[in-house]
Amino acid sequence: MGKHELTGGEMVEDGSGLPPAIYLRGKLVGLRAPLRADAGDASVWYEGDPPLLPEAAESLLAAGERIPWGNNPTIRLMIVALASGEIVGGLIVHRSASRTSQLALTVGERVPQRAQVQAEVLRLAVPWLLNEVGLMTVTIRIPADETSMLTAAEGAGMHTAVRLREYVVRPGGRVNLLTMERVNEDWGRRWRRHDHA
Amino acid sequence: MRDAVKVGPRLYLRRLTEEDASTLAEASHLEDETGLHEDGRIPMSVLSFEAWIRGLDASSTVFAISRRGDGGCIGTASIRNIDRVNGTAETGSGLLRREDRGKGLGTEAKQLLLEFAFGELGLHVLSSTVFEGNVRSARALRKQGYRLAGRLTANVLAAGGVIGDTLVFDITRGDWEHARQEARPAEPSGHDGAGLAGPDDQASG
Repeated sequence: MGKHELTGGEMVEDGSGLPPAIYLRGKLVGLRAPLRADAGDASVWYEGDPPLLPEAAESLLAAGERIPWGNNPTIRLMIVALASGEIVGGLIVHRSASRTSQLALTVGERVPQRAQVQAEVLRLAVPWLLNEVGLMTVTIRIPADETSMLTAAEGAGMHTAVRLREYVVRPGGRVNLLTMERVNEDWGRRWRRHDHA
Repeated sequence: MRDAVKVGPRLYLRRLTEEDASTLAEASHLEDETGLHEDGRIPMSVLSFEAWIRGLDASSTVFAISRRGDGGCIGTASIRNIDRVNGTAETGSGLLRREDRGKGLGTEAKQLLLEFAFGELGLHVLSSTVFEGNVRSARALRKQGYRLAGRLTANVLAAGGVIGDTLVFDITRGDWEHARQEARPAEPSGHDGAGLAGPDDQASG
């Protein structure tokens, strides 16, 4: 991914054979399920450190995709630039007991318009997880010096719930680790019997 | 004392082994306190505990809490999600039986656990979570020097369908060293953490 601008507009075919879900598509990026072939782009989407080799990435993807039909408590999604089809990052949703969740969002340091991509992904994912997937809470942990990610989380309606002191090492010091959360205030209130006349 | 890792006045911590699985499973059947376990009390199998113990890796250290002079297991104390880059981890502990709670044993076990985490492991910050209804464990954490870092809203569906918050605490090496300097000779406190510290022992803090 070069330093050129991500342009909006129509999605181009990226050769993956799998388009971003139409309900998870913004102006710049969309989210789609992973493919075996995405292993070659692990340096962009993998959330861990150090980076994965392609072989290890393929194993990781295969191991994480063994539970079908959306029943996997962990949902891994690729962030795809709509205009180019390139993978620019990854999003993982760790669900617990179908009630709570923690996100891990990775967008490459060199991705153009990185802050906008982070913001767009959270604006797509958070309402989807609360209102459609039906989770009670969505959380994400963000080091206090990652201002663009904090802004993105705030833009998705999240607020600081927990501040762990000195939890992240940086060159020259430590920074706090914030947990941002958004709560589904309607969770549990929407239950009703459907009338089947 | 077999395989003792940290030794206190009345207790010691040793490595948890598959031989302890039956004790943990039995305790899950005999628990008579409600409100300590965020997912409610669930009878658990020896097989599941054996598999869990076998599966423990370098990211977790789980100790059995034993009485001096008795190699049995009266509880567990754990350090999970050890991040050696950032020097962080999550702690949890709990006593298996009601008759051991409220006698200062949990406090002693937590002290040993902190000594191991900040001493042998050289960690910088620890965090711990407690279901808000577990007042006793929250009080025990504060007594150890943990500070409230925040609250995860509606994070737990507890017994009776009650949705509750999870309290998150942290303790830095500096807090711990300060608490040690301030500490007076140990005496029974009546403020133990409590509950079975299982594979996901958040309830026990």
